[in-house]
Amino acid sequence: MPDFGQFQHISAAPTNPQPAAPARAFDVADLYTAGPVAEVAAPAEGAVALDEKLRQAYFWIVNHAIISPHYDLEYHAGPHQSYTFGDSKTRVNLPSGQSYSSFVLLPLLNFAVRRRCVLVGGPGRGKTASALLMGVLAGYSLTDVRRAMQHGQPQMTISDLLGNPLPADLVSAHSMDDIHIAWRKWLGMRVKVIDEYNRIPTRTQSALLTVLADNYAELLDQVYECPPAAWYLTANDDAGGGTYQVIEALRDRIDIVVKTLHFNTRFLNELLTRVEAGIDPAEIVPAQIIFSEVEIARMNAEILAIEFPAPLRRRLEFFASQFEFLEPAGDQLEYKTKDTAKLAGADLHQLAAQESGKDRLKDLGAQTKNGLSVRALMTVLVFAKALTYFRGQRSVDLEDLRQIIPFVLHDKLQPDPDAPFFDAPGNAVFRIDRVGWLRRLFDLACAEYDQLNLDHDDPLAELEAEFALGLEGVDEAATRARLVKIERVLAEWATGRKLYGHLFDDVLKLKYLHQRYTNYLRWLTYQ
Amino acid sequence: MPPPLTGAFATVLAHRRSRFNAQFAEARRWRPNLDAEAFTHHLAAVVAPLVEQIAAIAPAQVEPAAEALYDLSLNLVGQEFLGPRSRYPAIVAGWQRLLPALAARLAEDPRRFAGALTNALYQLATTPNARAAAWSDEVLALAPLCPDTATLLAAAQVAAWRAGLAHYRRSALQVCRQLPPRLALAALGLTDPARQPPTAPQLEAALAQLHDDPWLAPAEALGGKAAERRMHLVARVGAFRGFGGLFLSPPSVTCPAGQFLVTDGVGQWLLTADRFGATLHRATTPPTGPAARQPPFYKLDTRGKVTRGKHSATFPELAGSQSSAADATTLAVTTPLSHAVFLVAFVDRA
Repeated sequence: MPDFGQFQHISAAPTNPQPAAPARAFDVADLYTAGPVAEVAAPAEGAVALDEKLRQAYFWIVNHAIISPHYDLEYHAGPHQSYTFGDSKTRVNLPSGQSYSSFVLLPLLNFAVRRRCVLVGGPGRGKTASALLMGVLAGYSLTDVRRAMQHGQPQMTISDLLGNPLPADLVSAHSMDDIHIAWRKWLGMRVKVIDEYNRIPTRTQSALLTVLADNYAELLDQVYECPPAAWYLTANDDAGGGTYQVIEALRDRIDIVVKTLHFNTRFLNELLTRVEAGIDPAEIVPAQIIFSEVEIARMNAEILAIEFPAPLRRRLEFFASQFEFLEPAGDQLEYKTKDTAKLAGADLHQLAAQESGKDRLKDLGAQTKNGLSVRALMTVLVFAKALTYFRGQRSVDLEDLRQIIPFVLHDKLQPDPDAPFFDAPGNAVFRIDRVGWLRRLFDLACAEYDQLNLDHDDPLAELEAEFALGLEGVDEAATRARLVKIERVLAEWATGRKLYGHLFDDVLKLKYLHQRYTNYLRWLTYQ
Repeated sequence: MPPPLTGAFATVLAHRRSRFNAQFAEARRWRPNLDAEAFTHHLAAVVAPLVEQIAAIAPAQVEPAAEALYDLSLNLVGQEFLGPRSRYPAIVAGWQRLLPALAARLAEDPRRFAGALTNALYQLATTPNARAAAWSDEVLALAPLCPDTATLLAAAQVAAWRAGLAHYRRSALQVCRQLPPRLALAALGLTDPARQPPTAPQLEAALAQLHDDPWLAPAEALGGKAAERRMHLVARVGAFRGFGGLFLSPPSVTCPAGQFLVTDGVGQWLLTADRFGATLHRATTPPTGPAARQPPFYKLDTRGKVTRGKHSATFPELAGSQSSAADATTLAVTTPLSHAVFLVAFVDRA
C-alpha cells in the first residue's frame, strides 16, 4: 500500500496518559524513537500495547477519516464547567476528562470484541464508511471490503447471501454429499458488513440469522464454518422498518446499537478540503493501526481479562433486577414476570393496573415492557470491559458501565411509553431519546441503590459470601443456623415491604440458598 | 528562488501530483505555519538530490523513497524542524550532510532511516552542549566499517553518547558489547588503525570499567597509558529559565538511590554526567530510595575547598554552597548565587 503521509499521521503514544509513570530508565534505543518523527521503530509482534494501538486507531479515525466532532461519551476528571440554555434547560457539559464520540468508538469496540453492531441513522451520515473502515483495520484492502459487503435488497435470495451449488455437481450428484457449494467470500472474512439489513427479505434474514448467531452457513446440507468476526449492519430506520420487518430473533442477536450523529455545519471547511484533495481516507489507513488476526484475538483475550469489581457487579445486578418482575402476571413467585404475560398474550397495561399500593413512578420496572435477557447482560459485561480496556484502565468503573449501557440495551429494553414516568414533567423527551432514557434509568437505579445503602447493608451479600466458601466441612448445627438466618431475613422483608423487581430477585436467591442448605442438611443427616 | 525540479523526483511528483497536493492541503490544515515556498525550497534543495542519488543506486526504491521523504518533510518543515525557517540548524545540516553520504542505507528503508537520524539529531540539537556536528562526522566515519544499517545505527548510538548524551552511557556501553571488537573501538573513538582490536575478555573488562567510572577515558580503559587524574570542576549544568535554562530559582541537589536529583522548589530533574557531557531530565517520579549510608566521598567547606582522601582543591565558585551531594565518583554542588549545578570529579585534564 502506498504511503500517503499526512493522512497517515497517527497520534503519538500515550494517547491517554495515566498519572502513575514508572521510574525513568534511559535507553539508548530512544535515540531514534524519541523526537519529531513517530513510527520509526518496528515493534515485534506481541510487543505492541494493543489498547494503545486501539486508541491510536480511534484518534486517527476521528482526526482524519470520519468528521465526528462529538464527545457524547463524557468523562470527567475532577470538576467541570456546565452551562444551561433556554427554557428547556438544555445542559452543555465541558468534560474535564478525555471524552469520546460514540459513533466512532463503539464500532471500534465492537471490532475489538468481535460482536454484532448495528449502525442506524439517516442516509449519507457515514454508517457504511465507518463499517468499511473497520474492515480495513482488520487488514483487508478497501476493494476487498467493498466487494464483500452485502447490500440488502428486496430480491436478495439465500444463494445471493451464502453461495451457489456448483452446477456440474447438481447434475451429476448421487447424494447431497456430492454437491459442492461455491461459498461467498465474505463468509470467511473477520469483518462482515451487511448494508441496509432491514431491506433483506424475511426468508433470507433467517439464513443470515444462522451465520450471525451460530457462525456457520448451511446450504443443501453442506456447512461452512465461519471464523470469529466483527459484524456491522446498517439500517436507515431505527425502528426496524425498512422494506421488510426485521425478524425478532435477528434483532435480538444485535449486541450494540450505534446512532449516527448529525453533521456539524461548522466543519464544512473540512469537507471542502476533502473534496478538493480528492482522497478517500479509507484508502490510506496507516499500516501502524491495522490489526492482524493474532492481534485481534489477543486483544479480545486481554479485554475479557479486565476486572469487573464485585461492588460494581452488585450495582449492575440491582439495575438489571428491576425490569422482569410483574406481580399480577403469575400465581407462584417464579412466574410473576413480564415474560409470563407476554407468552400468554396478555395486555401488560391491564395487568399493571392490577398492581396496587406501589409507586409506579418510582418503580423502574414500570418503565419497560420486558426484562433483560442473559445475552443482553453478557453483552453489557463484555462491552463495559472493552470500554475500560480502551481507556487504558484495568478495572471497570461505574462511569464505563454508565456510558455503555444505553448502547447495548438500546434494542433490548423496550420502553413502555404509557408508563407514568414518561408523563412526569421533563420526561416526555425520553419517549424519543432512548439513549438518554436508558442512561437516566441507570442513574435512577444507582440513586435507589445508594439510598438503600446496599453497598454497606446488604444481608443477602453476607449470605452469598458465606455460601461461596463452599459446604465442605459445614456441620449440621452451622447448616441449621444458616437456614434460620435466611428465614429471618425473609420474615423481616415480608413485613411491611412491597415487592419490587430487585426484591423479587433477592427473594428468589434466598429461596435458592435455602434449598441448597436444605438438601445439604438432608444429605448430612442421611450419612 | 529554488532551482526547478527535474529528474527522478520530478517524475514521481508529476505521477502522484494530485495525492501530493492533497497531502499538502491536509498538512496545511494541521500545520498552518507550513509555508509553500519554504517547502518547495526544501524539496528542491534537499529532497530532490537525495532521490536523484537513490535513483542511481536503487531505481526500484525511487518511488517509496520520494513518498517517505515528501511525507517526513511535510511534517518536519511544517513544524519548522527543517526548511529555511528551521529552529534546529543541526537537523538541517544532518539532512544535507548525512543523508546524501548514506544514500545507499537510506534507500533500504527511507522512512525509518531518515526518521531515526532526524530523531537522533533532534536530541543532540536540544541537549545543551551536545555536539551534533561531531556526531555526524563520527557516523560518516563509522559507516564504512559497518556491514549493514542495523550495525551502523547501533554504532551511532555509542557515538551519540560520546557526543554529549550522558544519560545513555550505561545503555550505550551495553550496545558496545554487541558490536564487533574493531567497530566497538571505533565507536568509542579509538580510530588508530595500528591499534590491535581487543579480545572479547579485554573489551568486556574495559566496558565494565567505563560502566563504573563515568570520568574514565575509553583509551585508558582499553589499556592505554594511565594519565594522572586530578580534581577538577568538570561541568556547570543548568541555567536560569529566563535565560533559556530550566531553573526558576537557584536549585538544590540530593542523591537518593544513587541518582542526582535537582530541584528548584517547583520542578525536579535527574542529573546525569560523565566525561562526555551532562544532561538534565524532568523527573515525574523521582527516585525515592533510602538515604543510603555512604562513605563521605567528598568533603566541602564553606570556602569552596573540596577534599577527598589526600587530594584537595579549592574552587571559589563553590564557596558558601547551599547544597551538595556526591556519589562514588562525582560531587554536585549548588550555591545561592547561581542557577547552575557545579560538578567536581577526578579527570585526566591539565
